[in-house]
Amino acid sequence: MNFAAAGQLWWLAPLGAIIVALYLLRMRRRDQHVPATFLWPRRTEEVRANALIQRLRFNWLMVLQLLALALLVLALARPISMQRGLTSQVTVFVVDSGASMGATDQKPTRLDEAKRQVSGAISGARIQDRVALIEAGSIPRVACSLSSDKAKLQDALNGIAQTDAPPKMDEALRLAAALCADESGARIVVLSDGVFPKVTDFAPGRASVLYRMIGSSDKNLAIDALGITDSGRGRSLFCSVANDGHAPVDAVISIFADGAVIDSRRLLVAGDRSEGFTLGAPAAAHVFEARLDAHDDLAADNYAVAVADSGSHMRVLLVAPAGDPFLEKALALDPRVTLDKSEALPDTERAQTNGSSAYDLVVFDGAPEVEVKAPATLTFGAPGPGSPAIRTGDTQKPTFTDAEDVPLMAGVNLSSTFIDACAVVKPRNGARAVAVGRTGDGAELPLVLAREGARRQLYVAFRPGDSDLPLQFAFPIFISNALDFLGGPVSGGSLVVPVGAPISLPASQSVKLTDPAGTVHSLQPVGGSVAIRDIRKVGLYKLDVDGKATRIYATLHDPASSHIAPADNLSLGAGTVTASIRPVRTFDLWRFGLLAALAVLTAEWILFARRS
Amino acid sequence: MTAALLEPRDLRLLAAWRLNPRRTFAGRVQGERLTKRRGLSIEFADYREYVEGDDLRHLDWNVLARLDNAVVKSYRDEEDLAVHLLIDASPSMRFGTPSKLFAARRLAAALGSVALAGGDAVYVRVLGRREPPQPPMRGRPGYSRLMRALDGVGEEQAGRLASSLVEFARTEDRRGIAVLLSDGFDESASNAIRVLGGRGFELLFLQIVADEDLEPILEGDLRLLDEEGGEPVEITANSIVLKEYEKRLGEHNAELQASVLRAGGRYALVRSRTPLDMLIRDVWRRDGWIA
Repeated sequence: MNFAAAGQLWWLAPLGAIIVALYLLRMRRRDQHVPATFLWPRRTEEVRANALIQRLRFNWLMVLQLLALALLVLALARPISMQRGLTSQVTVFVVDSGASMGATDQKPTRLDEAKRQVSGAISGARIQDRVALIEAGSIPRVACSLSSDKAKLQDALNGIAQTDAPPKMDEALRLAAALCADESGARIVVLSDGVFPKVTDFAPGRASVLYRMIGSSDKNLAIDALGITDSGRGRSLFCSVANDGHAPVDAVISIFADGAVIDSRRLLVAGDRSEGFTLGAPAAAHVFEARLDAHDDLAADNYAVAVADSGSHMRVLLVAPAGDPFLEKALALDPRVTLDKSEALPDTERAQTNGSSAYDLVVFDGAPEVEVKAPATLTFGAPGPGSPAIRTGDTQKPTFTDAEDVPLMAGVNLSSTFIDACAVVKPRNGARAVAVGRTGDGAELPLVLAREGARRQLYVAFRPGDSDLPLQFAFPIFISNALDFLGGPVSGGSLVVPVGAPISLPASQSVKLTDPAGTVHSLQPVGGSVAIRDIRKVGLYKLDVDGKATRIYATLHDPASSHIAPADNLSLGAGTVTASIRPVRTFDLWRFGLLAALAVLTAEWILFARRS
Repeated sequence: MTAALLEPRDLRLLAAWRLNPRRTFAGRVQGERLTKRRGLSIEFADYREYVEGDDLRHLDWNVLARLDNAVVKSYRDEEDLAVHLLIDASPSMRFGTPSKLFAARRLAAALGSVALAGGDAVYVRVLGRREPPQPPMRGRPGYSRLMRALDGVGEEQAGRLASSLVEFARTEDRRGIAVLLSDGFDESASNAIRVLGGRGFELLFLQIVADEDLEPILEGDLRLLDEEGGEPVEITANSIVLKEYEKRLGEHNAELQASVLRAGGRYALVRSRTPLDMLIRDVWRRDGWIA
């Protein structure tokens, strides 16, 4: 038995001394005359003491009081007994359901092994123990809040499903800490293989963290690259397979172009090495898939997709000196976009520098547009020398009057938009106004200018932050339309998204989603767009958006998840948690001490009442 | 005071009774009690051989004629009986309602009346009080003296019961009935009773106790002060202590009773509030104190 607050035991000495001292004090008694005293027994019970010192005599009341005090102090010192087991009085199980937990080195999978262990712990929990379950997937959730209902917990445990996405363990741990923030002696048990990024922003509070390592193997091959290059000599496809384990693994990789096999070859990949190859690809094909048939432990990363359409994936740089969270969010929500932010344009992206651009699109928000190497620009507010607009002045509170019936303005109604400040511009050569307004004095004013040529450019005469447009449904639709315009048309409506990432698509009515298993889901649009959060497995998702078919290919392209070797230690916040082979659970005994003290006090009271 | 001690009704109740001693004692004047001394009374006692000088009137001529043996009759003499009323006036006797001392005086008056009516010599002795020997009270004239003597009995600060009894036994040369009226609250009372019996007194012990002696009503933490100068005792008056007291009191009283009975006396425990008629009926008559 140990003590959680052993320092409290020091109270025993002074408090015990006080009780003994009280018994050392002589009783001041009331005088009573009697005929004779020789018949009376010399028996005194020191139930009250308030006078001079006397010799200490044995007294059961004193013994019981000292015993009660000892038990109370013992309870105050929080005695705990150590027992083997995962659960404590309050336990939050964080079950990693991320991609690597689909590894089959534990049969049938690591996740099943984790669930088996949790199930056993739930079954073995004491009746007063409370347990909570958190699923640490791509979107962490509380599967079951703190409960002693074992059936309910088992049901919730069964509901935890494998995802092929990397787990967001940091969010899951913060959820766990919040669940047991008010509980003393709580324990957070992480059942995972430790294959997730280092968690930095986490503090368990009063809870202890226990790491139960699941998995044993690092045997895994992953398609770490699949790319298409169009050149003067035609289209070529590059594919690379990485072995994240230490032992060589052979596999057969097959390449598909729009569903038809164009290549299949055997690869033997040495440990910690990659093997790549290049092959010619049919120029007419749009979607290229690579499938790896390997004797490894994780299948989710054995699939990769590359889409030949130029707008199917966009690397976007947002140059915003003051920042604009609405614009950032609207850009990041688009499944095609990989967003970077900067307060100023990097010199390497200027048109005058050598090399190619790292971005497909540069967005200027508040910063004057400059000439860039990227093939497209979107500018809000301040035009530059290369802009499709020439600034002639400024105006305030212009009103929207009209917009062209073009895909760029489809679903975008600016008539109710309030614009506080706006640049007065006129179009440059080749530019056309797709939306116009009117100044306060009645002059016509271009609000949105577009130019197509060697580069695609879009200019908006006001910053989102100078209007209430970001608060309207039209804003994400306009941004999506702008990306369509600037990225070029999406052939075949194909997108490649990382598995687990929520995506948002403009939609005006109900959307049908067919997942890789063939299950059809109906999604309702909110605010002009539909959010898809349940892309849990790699594969093809078919969408029917406003009668237009869109194919979404979800892939796991995450080198961290492919490195499935279980981690012995977890780096959580400021500390490190080591995997525990035989976890110890503590059993708080202070309640028993308190009950015993109450029982002794009751006995003391009965004795006192009898003697008084 | 006299009227308070005995009511006319009490006197009528007592008038027909006489003390009934178990033994006989030598008297000093002729009275109504038979004595062991052979004398000239009319009550036959025994025969003895005739010796020269005997009164020929007491020669049994029938025995001489039939057996040719000269014997004379002897007779028991009738003398008065000494009744010592020993009244404990120690401070412990002031307890009770009525007080034990009052009850002792009243019972002394009752037994003294019975003795006077029987022609006995009555001596009133207040234990602990030093006073010169008083002449006995006899007959009807002695009744008023008896009452006056009892009226003069008050609480004394003198010695304790046992020492007073022993002193009486050693100094009193006239044997007879010793009626002890006391609460008996003295650790050495039993020994004193044995001394009294050993000196030839027939002891009638009326142990008079108050209700609070038998069922003390005490509570809390107390220092008990002995009215007769004993050591103070500190107690916590709880059920355990009270039961222990009752046990000790019972043992003490049993020891007193055993001492009295061993000395050939009589013993009765009475409460100070016990009515006289009940005492006469249920104790004195039943146990043969009076006849």
